[in-house]
Amino acid sequence: MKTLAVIAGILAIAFLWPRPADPLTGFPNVFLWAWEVPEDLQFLDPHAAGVAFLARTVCLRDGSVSVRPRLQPLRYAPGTVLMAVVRVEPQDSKSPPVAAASAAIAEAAAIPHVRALQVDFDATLSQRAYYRELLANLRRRVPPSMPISMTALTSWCQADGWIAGLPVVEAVPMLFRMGPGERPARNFRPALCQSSAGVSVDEPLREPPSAARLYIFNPRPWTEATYRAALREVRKWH
Amino acid sequence: MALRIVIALLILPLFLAIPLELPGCGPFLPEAVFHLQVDPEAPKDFARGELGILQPTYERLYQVIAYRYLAGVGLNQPEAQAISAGPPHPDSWDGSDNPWLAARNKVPGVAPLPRIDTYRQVQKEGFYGMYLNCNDDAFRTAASTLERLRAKPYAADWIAGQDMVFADCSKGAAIPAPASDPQLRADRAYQIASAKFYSEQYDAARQDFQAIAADSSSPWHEIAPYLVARCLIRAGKFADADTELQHIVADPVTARLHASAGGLRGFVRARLHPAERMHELALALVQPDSQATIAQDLIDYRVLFDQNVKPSEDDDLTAWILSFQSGGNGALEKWRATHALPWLVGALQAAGPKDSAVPELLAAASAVKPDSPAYVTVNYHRVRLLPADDARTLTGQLLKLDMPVSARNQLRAERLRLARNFEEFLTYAPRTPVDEDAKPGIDVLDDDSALVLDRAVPLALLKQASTSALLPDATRKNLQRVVSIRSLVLAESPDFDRVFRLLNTPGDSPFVRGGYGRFTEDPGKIDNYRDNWWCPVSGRNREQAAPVANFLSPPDRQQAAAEWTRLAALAAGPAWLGAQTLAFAERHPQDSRIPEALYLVVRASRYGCNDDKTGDVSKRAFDLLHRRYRNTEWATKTPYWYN
Repeated sequence: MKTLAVIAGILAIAFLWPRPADPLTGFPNVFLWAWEVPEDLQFLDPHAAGVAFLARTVCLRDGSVSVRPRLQPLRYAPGTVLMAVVRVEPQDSKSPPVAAASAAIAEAAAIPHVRALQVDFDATLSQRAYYRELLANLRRRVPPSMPISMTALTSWCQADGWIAGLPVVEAVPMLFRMGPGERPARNFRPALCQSSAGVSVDEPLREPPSAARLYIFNPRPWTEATYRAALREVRKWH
Repeated sequence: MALRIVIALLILPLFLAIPLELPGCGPFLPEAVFHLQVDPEAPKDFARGELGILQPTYERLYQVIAYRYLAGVGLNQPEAQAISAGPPHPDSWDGSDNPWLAARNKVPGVAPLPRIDTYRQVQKEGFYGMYLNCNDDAFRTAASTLERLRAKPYAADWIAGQDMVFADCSKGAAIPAPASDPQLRADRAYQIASAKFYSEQYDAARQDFQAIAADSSSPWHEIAPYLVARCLIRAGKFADADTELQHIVADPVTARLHASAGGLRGFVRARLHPAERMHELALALVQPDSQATIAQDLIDYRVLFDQNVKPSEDDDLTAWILSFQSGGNGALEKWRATHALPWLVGALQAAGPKDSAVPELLAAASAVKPDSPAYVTVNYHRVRLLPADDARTLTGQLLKLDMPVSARNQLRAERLRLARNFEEFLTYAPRTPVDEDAKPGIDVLDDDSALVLDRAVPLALLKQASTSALLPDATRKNLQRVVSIRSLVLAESPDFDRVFRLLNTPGDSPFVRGGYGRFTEDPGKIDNYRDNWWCPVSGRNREQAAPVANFLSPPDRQQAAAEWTRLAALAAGPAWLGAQTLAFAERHPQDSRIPEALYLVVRASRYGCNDDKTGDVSKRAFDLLHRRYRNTEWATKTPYWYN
C-alpha cells in the first residue's frame, strides 16, 4: 500500500509539474531554414511552417563591423511567420565594440514582417564572453516584443552550461553536421535547449528529437516535394 | 618572487602556442583531390591553351575557352588577361574602401561618416531581396566632383546634399532642397535627380535628367541621357531604354559614353530578346581579338545559359557545350558531319570500348598532332578505348610528356586499371593531390588503389606493399601500421600485449585509407574530430562487391574475400578493444595492466567511433574498474562511462 502511494505521488508530481511554456507562443512548430540560395517558398502553408531566413551576415574584422546582406531572393506566401537569421562571422581576433556589432544585427529586426530574430554565431571558447555581452546589448536594442533566438552547437547544450541565463528565448541545438560516430542527443538539460532542435533533410536521425519545435535545414533549395517529405518525417515524431 | 617568475615563464609558452586566429566555423578538414571537377587546377595555364584532360563538369567559362582552342581561335594575351581578371567587381558590402568617404571625411569641419550601406531592400509583398543600389561609379564621381568644388564657398552645402543622396542608397527618400546659390544650381539639380533615382522615383528622376540634358551650361548635360536610360531600365521600360541607348551610341559627341552605353544595351537586349542576344554573344565569343568585350560577353552569355534560353540552331558553341556537358549527346553525328575537332572530343567522350564507331574515332584521334590543345584529351580517351596492350603502351608514352598534374593523375588511374601484376599496381597507385592543402612532392593513395588494397588484397600482399619501394615513404609506413593491426584483429586469439598498445594509439586501424588520412598525424594522440581507432564497416560497404583486381590469382582473391568477411563483421574500435580487454581481465585479474587498460577502454568509448555495443562495453569496463580496482589512480581518473 505504501509503495502504491509513493508511485501515485510520483505520477501526480510528474503530471502536475509545470512544463516549460512555449517561448515562441503563436509561432508554428516547424521552421524551414532558408540559407543563401534563391528560395521560392510560396507553397508553404503559413499555419504549418514558418521561414527562418538568412537575412544578413555580420562580419567582425580588424575591430570593425561590415554587413553582407542576403543577395538571393526569398519568396514566401503572405502570412508566413518570418524569422530573420543573422550569421555572425569573426574573421580575426580583433573584435569590434559590442554596440557596433549589436546595431548591425538589430537592423534585421526592422525588416518588414519579421517577427523574431535568430543569431547564428559559432562562438569559440574565447569568444563566449563577447557573445554574451553582444546578446545582452542586442536584447536592449530590439523591441521587447521581438523574441531573440540563437542557434547552438550541441556541446553548448550538453557538456558545459555557459548558455544558461543568456537573454534569448531559445537555443536551437543543431543536430547535424556532427563528428564521425557522434550521435545527437535526444534531450538536453539546459532549459534554453529543450524547446527546439535543428535537423537537416540529408541526415536521418536514429532517434527523433524530443523538442516541440523543429528547424529544418536543407543544403539545396527547398522544393515542395522536399518540404512535404520533411513534414511527413516530423509528423512521425510528434 | 622567484616562484612567481618561474610560474610566469612556464605559462608564457602556453600563450605563444595559441593561434592568433581561430575560425568560428568548420571544421574544414583537408581532403585530397586528384583532379578538380569545376575548374582546372591552373586557370591561367588553361587560358593559354593547356587544356589537360577536358572535363564536362567544368564551369561554362572554361567550356567556352576550350571551344575557342579546339576550334582554332584560341585566346590572345589581352583576351586571356581580360578573362582572368573577371568583371570589375561592384562595390562590396564592406564600405572601407569607398573613395567618396575617403575624400569626404578629410574635409575639415565635416563630421566623418563610418560607412554607407549600398544595398536597398525590394519592397514587394511576399518577397525579400536586396539589390546593389549605389555602385562604385557613383562614389568615384562624387569624389572627383568634391575635388572640383572643395575650394568653393558652397562646398559644405554641396557635401550635405551629397550625404542625403547616398543616404537613399539603403532606405528613405531624402531629396536635397534646390540651391539658393546660383553657382551651385546645376550640381544641386544633378543631386536632386540622383536622390530621386536612388529612392526609386524613376519617372521623376528621368524627367530631371532630361532637363539636365537640355541645359548645355550644366557640367552634367553630356552624361544625363545615359542616366535617362538607366532610369528607364530601373523602371523596367526596356524598349524605351534601348531606343535611348541607340541614340547615345549613334551620337559622335558622346563618344566617351559609347562603351558604357553599348554594355547597357547588351543588358537591355538580353531581357528584351534573350534568344537573339544569346546568339549574338555566342558568335561574338568565338571572334578573334575580342579583348574589349570578351569578359562582359562571357558573363552575359553564362547568365542567359543559366536561364535556359533556347539556343539558335546554327549556334555551334552553345550546341557543343550542351552536348559536351551532357556526356556527348549527338556528338558522333555532328563529328561525322563536320569532322571538327570540338565534336571529335565530344564523340570520344561519349564512346564506350564496345561501340561500333570506336575504330573511326580512334583513327581520327590518332591523327591529332602533339601540339594540338586537344592532344592530351583525345589520347586519354584513346587509352580508355584501345585494347589493353595498346592502351598500356600509349599510357607509357603519354606519361613521359609535360601535362597538368590532374591529367597525369587520371592517366595513372587508367594505367592502374590495366595493371598485369602487383608491381604494376603499386607503380601507378600513388597520385599527386591538386587541392589547396597539397604538400609539394608528397604523393598519396587515391580511392581506387586504397579500395583495392583495403578490400581485394590478402594480408600477405598488403604486407608486401608495406615494404615496397614503389610507394612513398609515408604510405609505406601507414600500410605497415595497418598490416600490424589487421593481423591482430584477424588473429584467433589476439595478443593482449598488442591490444594494450593499440589502446594507446588511437590513430591505428586495420583499414586502408586513401588521401591524407587522419587529421591528427601522430597516431598516439586523440583526434579532436573523433577520428580515433576505427568505425564499423557500414552496411552498404559490407554488401558492395570487392573492386576488380585482375592481377590477383584465384587463391589470393579467395583469401582476401575470407579476410574481408571477418573485417566487415568487426565491431567499432572502442567496442572491439573493450571486449578484448574485459575477456583478458576475466582470465588474468591480477595482471598489473588491467586497471589502466580498463581506463583506456572507457576513454576510447568517449573519443572513438561508437556502435551499438560501445555503451555496454564502456559500462562493464567502468564497473569492473570501480569494483575490483577502485583504489587505483585509474579508477580516480574514470568518473564516468560513455554511451
